Amino acid sequence: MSPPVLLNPNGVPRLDLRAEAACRGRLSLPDVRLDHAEREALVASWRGRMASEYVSARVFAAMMPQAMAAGLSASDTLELARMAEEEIDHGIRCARVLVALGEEAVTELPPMPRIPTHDDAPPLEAFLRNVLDVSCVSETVAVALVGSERELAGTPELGLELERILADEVGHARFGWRIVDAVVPSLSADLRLRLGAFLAVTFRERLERFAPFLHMADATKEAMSMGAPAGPGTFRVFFETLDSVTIPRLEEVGVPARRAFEHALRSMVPTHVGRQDAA
Amino acid sequence: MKALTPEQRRGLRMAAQVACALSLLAAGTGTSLAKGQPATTVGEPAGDKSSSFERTADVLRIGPNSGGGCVPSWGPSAPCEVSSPLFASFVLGEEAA
Repeated sequence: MSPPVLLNPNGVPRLDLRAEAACRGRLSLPDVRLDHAEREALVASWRGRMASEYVSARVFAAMMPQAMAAGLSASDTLELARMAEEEIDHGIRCARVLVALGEEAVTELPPMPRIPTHDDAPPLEAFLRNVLDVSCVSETVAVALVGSERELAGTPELGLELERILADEVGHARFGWRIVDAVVPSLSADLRLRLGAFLAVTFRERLERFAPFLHMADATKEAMSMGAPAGPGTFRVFFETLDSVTIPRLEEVGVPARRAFEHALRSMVPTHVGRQDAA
Repeated sequence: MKALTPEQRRGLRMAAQVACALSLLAAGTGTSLAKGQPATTVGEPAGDKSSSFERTADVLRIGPNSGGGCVPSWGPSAPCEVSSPLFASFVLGEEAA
């Protein structure tokens, strides 16, 4: 039995999902050869996913008191609790893949920035900001990414793990879109403008986060059959999801999402290049 | 840059369906169904769509390169704080700070 508190010598919390992964049995992966660098990148991907899925549970958990303060229904608040549980489950699924790769399902937890409470805004606006960020941007992109990665899974077992994760991501995205559709159209123009302003901040952060994929080499088919991200294709899917799904849908309900994206992009043009080049 | 693969297009269609499904259900009329279609096709980009992607990619390529080492994550990270001047400049209709 593992101790109740797991800390590395440097005091960083350690995530150990070996027992949980073992309970679910062995997973088979495609019998393909990867070179050393590819294999290292693949292991890093799955270890990173294991940790990031696990800690993302706190995002939905932190949204529960915000939902309550905003006056959301008990069923919606309960759904947030379920989504938190699902993220921990995703961590365990990723742990199974790590074990199948011959690795230990143990890692340091990444930094966990606090979940913003947006105290500058009334409760409903504060909650909607996080809904836009989490569901309409993050989880909608996740649906597109996991949806494409699932199709390339090289074994039925790996495909099933990705299928289960995808089904949950669909639910996480739908949660937000349902609330947006129900609430946002009746908001004041000023509040919808402020949501657009928040989106500009969110879009900039996401562009910064996904930009490194542009510089990666394309993953091989063999690596992708084991769940490796595509590389530049990952950025493409991220961009296309924002451009053809998230932004138009938010524009439909009166949020100036397109202007928010352009505002974010212009802010990223190096000053020596000049802003008009981004127009 | 390479075009989207068939698997990526299917992933995008799924994301579009997730975002649009409720507008289809809520509306229920012929015109609303048309409005509720996924906002764009997810096939080969053309014209403005292609240039929008390339423009975005060009801006990001010019910027600092973190040199790879990016680990993809599906799960949502902590949402952003709004202390950024970007928020204020958007509300005031000013150029991005």
